[in-house]
Amino acid sequence: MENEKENSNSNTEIKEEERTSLPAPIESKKKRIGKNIFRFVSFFACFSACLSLVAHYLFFSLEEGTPYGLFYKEEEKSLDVVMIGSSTIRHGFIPMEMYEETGLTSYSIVASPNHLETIEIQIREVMRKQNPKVVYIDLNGINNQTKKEAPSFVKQYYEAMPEGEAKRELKQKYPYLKEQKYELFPGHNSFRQQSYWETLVYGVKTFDKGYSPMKATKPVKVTKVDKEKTLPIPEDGLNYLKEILSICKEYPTVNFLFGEMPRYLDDTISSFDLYQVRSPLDAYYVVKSAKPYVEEAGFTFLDYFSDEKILPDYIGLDPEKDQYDAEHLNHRGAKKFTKFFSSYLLKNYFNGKAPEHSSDITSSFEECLKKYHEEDEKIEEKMNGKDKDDED
Amino acid sequence: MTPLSFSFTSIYFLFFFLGALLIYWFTPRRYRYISLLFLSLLFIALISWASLFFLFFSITVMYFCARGISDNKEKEKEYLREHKGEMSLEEKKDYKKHEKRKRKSLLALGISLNLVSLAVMKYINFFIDTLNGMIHWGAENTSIPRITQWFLPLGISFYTFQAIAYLVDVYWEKIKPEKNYLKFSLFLAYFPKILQGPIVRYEEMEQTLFEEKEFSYPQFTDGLKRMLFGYFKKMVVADTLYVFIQFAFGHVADLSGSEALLAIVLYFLQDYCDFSGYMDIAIGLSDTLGIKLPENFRQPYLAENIDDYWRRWHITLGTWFKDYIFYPLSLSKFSLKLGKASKKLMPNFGKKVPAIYGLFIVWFLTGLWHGASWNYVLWGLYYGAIIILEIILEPLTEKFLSLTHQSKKSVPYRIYEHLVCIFLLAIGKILFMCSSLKDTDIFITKIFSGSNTYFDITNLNNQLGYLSVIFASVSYLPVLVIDILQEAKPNTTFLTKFDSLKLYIQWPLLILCGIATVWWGFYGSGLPHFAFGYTQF
Repeated sequence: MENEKENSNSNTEIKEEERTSLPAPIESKKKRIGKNIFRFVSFFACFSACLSLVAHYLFFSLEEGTPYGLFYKEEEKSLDVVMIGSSTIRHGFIPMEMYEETGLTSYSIVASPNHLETIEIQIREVMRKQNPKVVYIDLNGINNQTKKEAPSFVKQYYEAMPEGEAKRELKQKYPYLKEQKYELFPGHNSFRQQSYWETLVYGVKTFDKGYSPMKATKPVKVTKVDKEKTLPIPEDGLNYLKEILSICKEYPTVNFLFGEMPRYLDDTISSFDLYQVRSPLDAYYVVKSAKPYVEEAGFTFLDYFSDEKILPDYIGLDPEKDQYDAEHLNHRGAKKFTKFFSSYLLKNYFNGKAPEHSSDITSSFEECLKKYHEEDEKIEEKMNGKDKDDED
Repeated sequence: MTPLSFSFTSIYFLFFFLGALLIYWFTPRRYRYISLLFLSLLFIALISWASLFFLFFSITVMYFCARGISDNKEKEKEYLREHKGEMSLEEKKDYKKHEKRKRKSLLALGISLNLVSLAVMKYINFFIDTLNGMIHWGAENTSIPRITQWFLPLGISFYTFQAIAYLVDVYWEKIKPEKNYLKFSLFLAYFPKILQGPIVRYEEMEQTLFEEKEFSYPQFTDGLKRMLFGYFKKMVVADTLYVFIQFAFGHVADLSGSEALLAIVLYFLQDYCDFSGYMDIAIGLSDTLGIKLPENFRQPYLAENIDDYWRRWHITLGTWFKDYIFYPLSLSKFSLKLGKASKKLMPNFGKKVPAIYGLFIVWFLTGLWHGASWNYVLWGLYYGAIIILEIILEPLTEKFLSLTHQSKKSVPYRIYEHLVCIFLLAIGKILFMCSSLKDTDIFITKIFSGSNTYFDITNLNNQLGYLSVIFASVSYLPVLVIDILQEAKPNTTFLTKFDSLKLYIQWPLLILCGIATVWWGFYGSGLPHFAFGYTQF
């Protein structure tokens, strides 16, 4: 009996040993692989779902927060003056200062750089949404911009436009806008841009009306301008100029002004903006060549570098204190220019009196003016503080 | 496709990676090294096909030199065995000397051919500029023209060092040479490490690279997690901050004092996240293929002193210089003679001379390796000088500590040492990033200049925006926390601890990290896309 018990025990032990020493059954390995695949797929499904939700609520097109994007948030038919151009206008003209000086409402549709192809679109958009009496167009781009690089700028502008007929027409006009870029990961790399953060944190900033202050100062050496000299406009630039002038002719009630923003040209600065192909002086000589075309079309060309009445020193610009760099005015310089330009426009195009606007538009601009004053105080403090230190 | 568009952070690479995983894991185990070699060569060809010629040159030279050295050694042993008892001691010595000379020639041939290739491709214009500088002392108007339209073969600095280490190890009989040409090619061409290292040794790669392994789900997912963390570091922290850093070190004169200070602080974060981010991607990528690469970073900003820092930063480069330059130099006959002579003159200091001599050469070469410019050499010598000074001042330091009843392990001393280390690192990083000594001087002056008493970050705002800087800097905090945790528990990896967390904690963290990375990872038009910093070497 005891032997039988022992035998049965040892048999059980042997069976257990056999069981543990046998290879794992194939089903459990398959099950394991299946489980892993399920976990993998579930994780990516969760990730994609979360990404879509975040994209929907937090992503927005960077372009909507740009000056040309925010233009569409302005009330229709509220602007007396529209400035169209690049960073020279963005940093050199202050719509709120113009409003305070003269009561004229204005906006700067700007991009850095603003391609001539998009300027054509912007002119039409301005005419569609507003009825300004004066439109100023910066022709700086004719010296170096080409047709080849236009699509990326047009795409950017297209993304800033609100949905509607204008956007559809644009899509028809530019077939490459129909190409859907395959976006594996949706959204924009917006984090890197200051304007995205400001918009996300502070809300959409519309009180500056396209103006962005430059608070630093870089003294520039004044290079003497040859008032007679001109340089030929490159082919693409000339074609763009002609197209823009032809578009402007379609709006005979609007006064179109053309030119480059005033500043002291410093030809000794060699490390220039990436997209410039000429020295500042040569770039001006090219733009100057547009004058006969502009005047022939019946428009005004403001030559801030040769016309005695509107030279930088006539405007009151100080080369030591009023420029951010060779291309741009700083906040101080922008104030001086805006003061001069506002008076000039009021006198020559508005008979000395700003048009009246509805109480909504006026109160909106008054509110923007208040916010601008707050910001202006901070900027002045910083700039004056810096000057004081420089003097010491 | 430009070279930049096929870096680890490009969308094309993601497709390549997916394809590589499928090809590799579906290849029969026995032939996986062949498919991996094919993928590696394809990777290199997609970035720079011309680089393949230089890589194959290096592979072929080292393969045959190593086989030659090993065969010669075998032949020598066999000959001595066969003629045992027939040869006198003198004859044996002569024979051994003669054969050793042959092996040494092969070693010298292999090393010199590779170094010449590296020198010509990387340093030719540096030599020309240096020669021109010397010529101008004599005749002002003569100069040798620089070579334009030149290119740097992909990864040449890294695989050259790996190849030299391999050949030297074969010569020292530490390892047997690889007889399979394809396997040896894979060792040098293995794509996760080709761009920026780590600089691996053959003995640590042999098994992991060639063993016929099974797919491991935990290792695979750990690899993906590591890659994700690497992308987070690179795209969210490093690339964002680099927008300002690039401006700051390129326009030193335009910076305010606050901006100069911020630039160096941010550069600490950017530099570490860029390089260690790449390492995380490379090591993680390799893990997904079941291959282990060595670590290249060990919480460097928690180092106690400069010497410790360089044992934690770019670890594989440091150990390479230690094993193949420092020790051979310090233990060479010349160095020992130098040490003996110095001991006679200065008994206490003299014994350190061999080490000082070795360190000087190592840091000169380290600087030169980092860049073909005297700026980099100066940078290397700067660190060499600090380490040498630490050695020289060691007796004084210990005397001071014993007089003040402090120990090196005491908290105040460690904090002091750490702060000094960070300060010295800051100067080193300024030296590294500024394009000239003049800029370095201006930069340092701006930081300490008394006239910059107010906080002006206009340039930072214009370039990047202070909010972006804050966000990127805050994103560095998880990196810092992980480093601190890793330093506190060196025997386990953070990833192991992370894997032990519940899924409902792991997944949200991974998803958050992924979303943040993707958000930064898609580049809009006109936004900068930066290559990894060390790819230029």
